[in-house]
Amino acid sequence: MSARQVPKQRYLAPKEAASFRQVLKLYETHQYKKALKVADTILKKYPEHGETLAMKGLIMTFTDQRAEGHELIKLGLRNDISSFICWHVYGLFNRTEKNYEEAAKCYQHALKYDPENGNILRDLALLQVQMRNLDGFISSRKQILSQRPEIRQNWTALAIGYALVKDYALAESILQKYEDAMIEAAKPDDIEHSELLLFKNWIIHQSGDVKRALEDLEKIADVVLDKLCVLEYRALYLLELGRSEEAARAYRKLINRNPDCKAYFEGLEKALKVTDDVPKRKALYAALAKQYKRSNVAKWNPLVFLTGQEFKEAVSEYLSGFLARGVPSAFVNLKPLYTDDSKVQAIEEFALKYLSTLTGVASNGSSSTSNGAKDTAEATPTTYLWTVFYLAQHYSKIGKQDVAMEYVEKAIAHTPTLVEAYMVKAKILKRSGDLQAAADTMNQAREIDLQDRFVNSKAGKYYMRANKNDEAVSTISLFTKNDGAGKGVGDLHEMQCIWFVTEQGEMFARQDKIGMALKRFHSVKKIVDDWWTDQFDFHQYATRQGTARTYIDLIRWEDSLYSQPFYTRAAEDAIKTYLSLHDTPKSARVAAELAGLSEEERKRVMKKLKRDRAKENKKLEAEKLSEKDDDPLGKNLENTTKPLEDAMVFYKPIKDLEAWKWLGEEIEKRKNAPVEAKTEATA
Amino acid sequence: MPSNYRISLDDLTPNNLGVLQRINSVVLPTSYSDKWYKESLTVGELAKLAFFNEVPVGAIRCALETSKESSKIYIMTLAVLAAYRRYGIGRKLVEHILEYAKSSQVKEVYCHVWVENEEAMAWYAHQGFERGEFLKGYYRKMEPAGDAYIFRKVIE
Amino acid sequence: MDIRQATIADITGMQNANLMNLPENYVFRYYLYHATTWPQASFVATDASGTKIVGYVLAKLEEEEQKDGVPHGHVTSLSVMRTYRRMGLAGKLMELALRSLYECYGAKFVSLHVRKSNRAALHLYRDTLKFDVKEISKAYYGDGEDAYAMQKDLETLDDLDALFEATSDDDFLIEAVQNLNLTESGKLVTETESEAKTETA
Repeated sequence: MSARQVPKQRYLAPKEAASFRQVLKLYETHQYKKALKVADTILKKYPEHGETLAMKGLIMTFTDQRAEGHELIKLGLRNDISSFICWHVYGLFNRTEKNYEEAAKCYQHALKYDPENGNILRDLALLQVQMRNLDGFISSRKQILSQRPEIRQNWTALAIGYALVKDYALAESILQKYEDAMIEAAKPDDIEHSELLLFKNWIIHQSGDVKRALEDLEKIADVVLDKLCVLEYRALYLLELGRSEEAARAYRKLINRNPDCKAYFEGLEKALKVTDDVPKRKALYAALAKQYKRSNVAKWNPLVFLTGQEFKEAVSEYLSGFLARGVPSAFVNLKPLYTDDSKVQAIEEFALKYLSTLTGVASNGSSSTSNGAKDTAEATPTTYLWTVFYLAQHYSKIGKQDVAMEYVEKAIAHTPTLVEAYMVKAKILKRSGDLQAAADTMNQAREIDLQDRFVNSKAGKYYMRANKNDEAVSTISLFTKNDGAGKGVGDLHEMQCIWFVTEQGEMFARQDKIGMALKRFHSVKKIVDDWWTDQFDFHQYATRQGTARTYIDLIRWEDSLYSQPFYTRAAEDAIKTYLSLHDTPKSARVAAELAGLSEEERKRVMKKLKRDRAKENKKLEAEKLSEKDDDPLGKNLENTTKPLEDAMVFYKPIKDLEAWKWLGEEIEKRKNAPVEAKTEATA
Repeated sequence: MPSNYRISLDDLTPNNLGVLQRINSVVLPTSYSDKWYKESLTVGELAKLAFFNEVPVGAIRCALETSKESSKIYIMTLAVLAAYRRYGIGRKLVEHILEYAKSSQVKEVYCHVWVENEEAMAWYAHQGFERGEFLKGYYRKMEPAGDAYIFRKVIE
Repeated sequence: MDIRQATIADITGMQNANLMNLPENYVFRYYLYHATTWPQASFVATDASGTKIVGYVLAKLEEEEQKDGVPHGHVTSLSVMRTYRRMGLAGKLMELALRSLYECYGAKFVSLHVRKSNRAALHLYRDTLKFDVKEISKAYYGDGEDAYAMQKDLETLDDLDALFEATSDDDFLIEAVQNLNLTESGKLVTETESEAKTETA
C-alpha cells in the first residue's frame, strides 16, 4: 500500500479497507450482487465514503439501476474529488453513455492523482483512438510502453498509432526495436508473430521504400504463415520496381491459385505491358482461358476491351457457353457491358440468332417434333429456356418491357417450374409500373421454392414496393425468429437488416405514415451508430491478436462509415421527411385533404379517416420492436416541434460530403426563412 | 444420344411441393385438392420429382394399397412437362417406383389410362405394363364419362 | 465477377448477402470478430462492378479445445445469391478458404453443418468438395431441423505453388506475348526468327 498520507475523507478502518478491496475484486469478476452487499456494509459505517459510493453507483449501472447509479457516482466524486478511483469510475460511466469526451476528461483527472496507473492509461488510450485523437493515443501508448516494455502488444499498439498518422519511419523503428530485443522468442507456428512481420513489411512498403520492402519480404518469407499474402506482396513490389518478368511470373503464380481474382490479371497485364495493346492483350487472355478453363475472369475481361467483330466473336462464345450449360447468371455477367450500345446490339443479334437454331426444343406441345434438334449436341430444352430467359432480361434492361414480357412468357409456358423466370417476370412488371402484379408474381416464384430465402426476401421487398405491409411482413417472417416482442420485424432489426428497415421506412413514408417512417429511418441510423461503436472492443483485441493491418483497415473503413449508401439513403429519406413535416405540419395536411368538401362530406371523411387510422394503428402497434419499445408508431417522432433540428441529426455525419451538401442547404434555407412564411403555409 | 443433359430424381418436401402442384396443373386434365397435395408429403419414396439439368420438369405420385393378401402400388399421377418428353424422364420415374416395389415386396404396380389416350397406352405398354380390365365410365367427371383401361405390371 | 480475400470493407456486404440468403444470421460484431481474428480465412465474390458482394464464405479456426489438440477449421457460413448460382462460385470460395485455414493456421481438417433438407448444399459439399458426413446433429438449428455434420481432411490438399514451379511454362507465355504474333486460327505462337531479324535490322 502507498505510504502517502490517506486524506481524511478516504480513510477506512482496516476491516472496511479489506471489504473495499473485495468490492473491487467482485466488480472485476462481475459478481455484482455480492459486491453491492459488501459495499453496503462499508457504507453503514462510512456513509460518506466517496470511493465506495462511486463503486456502488458503477455496479448499480450494471444491474438496471442506471439513474440511481449515476447519482451515487456523482455523489461519490463530490465527496472525494481527489480520488483517482472516483474519477476513473465516472469516466467508465461516461464511456458506457458514449460521452467519450467527458470520459477522457475524467480519465485525465484520475491520472493527475495516480499518474502511473496502467489501467487508466489503457482506458484513456482506447477512448483516444475511438475519438481519433491520434496524438493523444500515441502519447498514452508511449507512456504505457515505457511502463511495461516486456509486453509485445505495447510495442504493437504504439506502432499502430504511428501507422495511423502515417509516420511509417517511427512505426517501423518501434517494431524493429522489439524484434531486436525479442523478449519472447517466437514459436514456430505463431500466427501473431507472422502477422506482425507482415505488418512491419507493409509499413516499409507504405513508407515508399519498395526495394527495401521486397528485401524484407524475402527475409521473412519462410517464417510467415500467410503464404498468399507473401505472394501478393511480392508480385506487387516486383511490379512497382519494374522487374517485369519476375512480376509476371509472380502474378501467374497467383492466378494459378485463384484464376478468378481480377487484381491478379490486372497485375499480369501490367507486368507484360499489354494493357494498351489490344492484340497482345487478346492473345494473353486466349492463352489464360485455355490454361484455366474454370476461370470466368479470363473469359470475361476481353469482353470489356474487345470491340467490333472481335467482340461479337468473343461474346458469342461466352454467352453460348452459359446458355448451353444452363447458367442462370449469364445476364448479370454481361450487364456491365450494356453501357455500350454497339455491344448491346451485338449481344442481341447473337442471342436472337442462337434462339433461331433452337426451334426443335422450343415446342411445348406434345405433337411430334422432328428428331433432328434432339440430336444436335447443344440443343436441349433447357438451352432454349435459358435463351428466351436471357432475351427477356435483355429487353427489360434496354427498356422494351413489352418485348421482354413476350420472352419471359415463352419461358414460363415452356417450363412453368422455373423460379427464375417468375422473378424476371416480376422485375419486368415492376419496371412497367405494375407494382401489385410484380409483387404477386414474385410471390409465385417464392411458392415454387420455399426453401430459398433469397426469393423470399425479394417477395418481401416487392410487397413493400407495392405498399403491402401485411403481406411483406408475413412473408419475410417465414425466415425470421419470431419469438421476441418485435416478431419478424424485431428480429430483422436485431440482425441489423438495413435493406429491410430502409424499404419499410420508405413504404411508410409513401403511405404518409410519418411516425412509422421516421422510426425506421432512426433504426437505420441506430444500426450504423452501433457499427461505429462496435469498433471500440477491437482496439485492444486486434492489437492482442497481432492483426494490425486488418485493424488499420477497420479504423479507416469506420472513418468512411457514414458516407456509404446504406446510411446516406436512409439519411436522405429522413431529412426529406422532416423537411416535409416542417413545410406542411400535420394540421395543414388534414386541411388539404378536406378542402373543397361539403360539411357533411367532411364529417364522413374525417370519421372514416379516423376509423381507418385506428384500425391500422392497432395492427402496427403489434409491431413493437422490443418489450421496451414504448412508441411503436413513432408518434413522438412525428409530433416533433423541431423537425429541422431533428433533420440535422441525420445530416451531421454527412455534412462534409460534397454529394450531400444540397441537403444541408435545404435545411439551412428553412432555418433562415422568416417566420411569417411558415404561418402562411399552415393557414 | 446427346450427353449434355442430366436427369436426376429428388424427394418431395414441404419446400418444393409447389413444383408438384405446378407440374400436375399444367400437364394433367384433372385437378387435385390441397389435401391431396399435403398427403403427398407422407408417402415417402412413392412421390418423386425429376430434374432436367437441375430444373424440375416431372413428377410421380403413387399410393400404397395394402390388403390381407398382397400390397399394390397405384400410380395416381405421372406428369412430365411437354417440352421435356422423349428424354426418358417418365421412364426414370416409373423405374424408381418399380425398384421400390421390388425392394419392399410389393407384388404389383398399376394405373388407369383413358382409352382415348393412345399415346399413354402405348407408352405404358412400352414400359412393360400389361393392359387389364376395361372400366366403363371410370372418369365420371368427364363429359361424357370417360372409359379407362387398367395397366399393370406384376413384380417378380 | 471477382473472387478475393474478404476485407473489412466487405463485411456489410457479406452481412447483407447472408441476410438475403440464409436463415442463420449474425450481427456486424461477429463478422468483425472473424475478420480481426482470422483475417485470411474468409473470401468474397463480387459482381462485375466489383462492389456488390454476391457470395461469401465466412470461415474460422475452431476455438473449442480439441481433446487431441488437432487444430481444425470451421465454415461458419457460405452463401451465393440465387442470381449468381451454377457458376461454381461456392466451390471456388470454399477451396480458397480451406487452403487458407490449412496454410495459415495448420488446420488438419475442416468441419461444417448443413441443413438436412438443403440438397443443393449437400451436393456441393459431398460430391464437389469431397466432404464426408460424420454424423447427424439432432435439432442443430433453431427451428429444430437436423444437420449433417460434415468434415474434410486438409492434409491432402495439393501444394499449388510447387505444382506451378514444376509444370508451368510461363516463360513461353511471357515470350509469346512480348514477341506476339497470331496465326490465322488465333493461336498464340512465338514470332518467327525471320521477322525478329527484320525488326532488328
